[in-house]
Parts: sequence; C-alpha cells; structure tokens
Amino acid sequence: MMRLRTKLLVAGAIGGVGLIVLLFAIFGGGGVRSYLDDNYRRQSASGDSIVYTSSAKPKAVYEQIRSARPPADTRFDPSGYFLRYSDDIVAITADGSGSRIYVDDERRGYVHWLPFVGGVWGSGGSGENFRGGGPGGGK
Amino acid sequence: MRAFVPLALATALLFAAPAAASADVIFDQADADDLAATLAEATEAQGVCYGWNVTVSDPVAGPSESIGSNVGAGRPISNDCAETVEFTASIIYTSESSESEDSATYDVISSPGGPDRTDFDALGIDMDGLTGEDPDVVIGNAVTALPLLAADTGLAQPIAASPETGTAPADAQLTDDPGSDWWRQSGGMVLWGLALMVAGALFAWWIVMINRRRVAAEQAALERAEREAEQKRRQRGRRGRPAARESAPPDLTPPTQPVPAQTSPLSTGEPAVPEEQAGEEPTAEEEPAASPSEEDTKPSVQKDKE
Repeated sequence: MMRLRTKLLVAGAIGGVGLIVLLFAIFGGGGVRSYLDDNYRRQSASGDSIVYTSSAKPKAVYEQIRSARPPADTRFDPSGYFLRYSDDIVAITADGSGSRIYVDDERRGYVHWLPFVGGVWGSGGSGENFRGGGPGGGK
Repeated sequence: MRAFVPLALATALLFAAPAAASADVIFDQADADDLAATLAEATEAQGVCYGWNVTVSDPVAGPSESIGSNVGAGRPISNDCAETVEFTASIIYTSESSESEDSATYDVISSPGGPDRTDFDALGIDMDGLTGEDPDVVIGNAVTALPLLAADTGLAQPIAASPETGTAPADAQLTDDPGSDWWRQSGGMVLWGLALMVAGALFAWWIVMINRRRVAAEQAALERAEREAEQKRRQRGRRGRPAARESAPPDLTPPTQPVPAQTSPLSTGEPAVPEEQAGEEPTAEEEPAASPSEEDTKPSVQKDKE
C-alpha cells in the first residue's frame, strides 16, 4: 500500500513539474521590451521608441538579447545589429566603449533603419540586397 | 594558312566555354557590387580590409567561385592591407543520383588578434543555409558582420549607426510575417510542460489500473479460498449429517412429540454419532445459502438434541 502511495506521489510530482513549467511558460516570459526595461538603462523615449544604453560591447548585448528573447530574424551591418520581433525592431550600435540599444514598433523601426534592413524585411528603400537568387543547386 | 586553323578553332572554343566559370556563382552582379561597397565603407572607417572567397563544386556546372573585397566584386583582398578579415566557404553540391547530401564548410580568417570562427559562430547565423535555396542571403549576412566582429575583438574601432530621421518612402513597409514572439520564446517550454503533465497523468492511470487489477486478483483469490473452505465444511458436514439426521426423523416431527435422543441410535441400529462430531454440525449462521429443506430440518434436530 505504501508503494502505491509512493508511485502516485511520483506521478503527481511529474505532473506538478509539468504544470509549473507550463505556467512559467505562459506567465513568466514577457516581450523584448520588458527584457530591455529590466536589464538596460533607459536613456530617452519618444512614444514607442525607446533608447537604452549599456556598458557592454554591442556583440555582448546582441548575444544577451538574442539568447533571452529569440528574434524572428537578425541582420548585420558594419555599423550595427538588427533584430526583428513580431511587433518591434531592436537595433544595437556602438556607443563609445559600450552600446546603444534602440527599440521601436515595427513600422517606425523599419523606417528608422531602412538603409540597413530595407529590401530585406520589407519593400522600399535602397537596400534590396541578398534576397535570394543564388545558384539554387541544392537538393 | 593551315597553321592558323587550329589556332582559330581554339580561340572559338575558348569564347564558347561556359560563362559560369568566370561569373559570380553566388551573387547577382548588383548584389556583389553592393556588398563590396559596404565593405569599402567599413574599410575606410576602420582601416581593416574585408573580403569573401566562396568556392562551389557543382557536378553539372563544374567548379566555380565567388570572390570579392573592399576593393570590389571579383577582386580579392589586397596584399597591401596590414589588417584583414576574410570569410571563406566551400559548398559542394552532389548530383541527384548521388546518395551523398550537399555539404558546406566555412571559416573566418583574420590577422592576428582578429575574429575567428568561434566569434563568428556566436552570432548565431544559420549556416545550414549555405546549401539551401538562398546561399547568397546567408553569405551576404555573414560578410557584412565581419566589421562588427573586428570591432568586438579590438582589431578595429566600432562604427555607430544612426536611425534615419527623414521622411520614409511611400512604398516602405514590412512584408514578411515574423510569427509569434511568445511562441518562439515559450513554445518549447509549453510543449515540455504539456508532455510532463501527460506523462504524470498516464503514469497515475497506469498505477491505478495495475492496482485495481491486483486488488481484483486478491479478492478473487480470497473468494476462491472461502469457497474452498466452505466446500470442505460442507463435505465434513455431509459426512457427519447422516448420523445426525438418523437421530431425528427427516420429516418434521411435531415439537409436541419429541423423540429421546439416546434411544434413536439403539432403536435404529445405525452407528451412533459422537457428540463432538455432532457438535460440528454447522450452525445456521455458518451454513451459507443452505437449501430450504436443510434449514427446515434444523429446528427439529436442535430440538431433538434438547
């Protein structure tokens, strides 16, 4: 009888851990904006456009954000890192020895960073680079 | 005159050779020029030379390559550069009949102190795309990241981008749907949580089912044992009952005319039943589901004993 209770406790523990993981997944996250707010120093804001700063180098900041909040797509330019989310665009650029982090809603972000992501994430702008059309010999 | 014929034929064959061997196999010419111009701006700002060198092995088109640098598309990095960073890759396509899959390797080659492949891999670019449908997108993204890596390792000064403040073109709008951030971030955890919950529920169900079967088996065994014990009791009762029954008339004797117990064995000549054995006669409580005729006879037997 004791063994039965032990087994049921194990089954309950497995289900309980699953429930905790599920609840954490549903309520524990938060978008990229909340992550930036929690981890970087806000420098300025204008509507939905906010600028943060960090003493870390741009590549380190990029890796932190990308790891914590995986973007849908990432683009690079010699002058910055660009991350696309469902509703926001984040840009990370150098700022002295540290970094400056810009977050905009997707429409305003696309306009702000059009020379860098134009033609890649949308239409318009001058950058119609690398949209495919390579050899295509793969199988 | 005859000597010129082979020469003319060779010249004609040379011009008739496939153009793929000399043209850029990865990029359109405009894309290659744009990429080279981007690298030229970075070189001007940072003083580091950048370039790419991609070789492609195709069983149909033959070997070919894509080369470019800050000095232009189709031109390698200049030997005069003191600091260089170059992206190299090798893509091997296999024929449709081959069992081997397409494959690719890549690397980042730099001056001492510059970025290497480990730095490059930290960017998280999906390099499986080298053998995908759009290798130019992957290579273009990789090459434009070289100045960022050079700045991160300290080989060059970083370049800072500034957001556009002017009016956007009328046709500037996002196109592809990037999908759900929540699902991208939490989808794996949701699936794990659900899987654990289902596993816990299945485990509990299995435990209950196993336990229910065990209890049923135990009950069946208990009932079987009781039945066997009861059968034994009945058998013993049947062995002892004839004598007891002989001591009392099977037909219900009216209680008003009791027959003395001590006279019946002698009078009938049947073997006498010892009192201990007669005492083992099952009582009404022990006798389960006895036939009405047996029960009916009991009062008379008890009365006879009295």
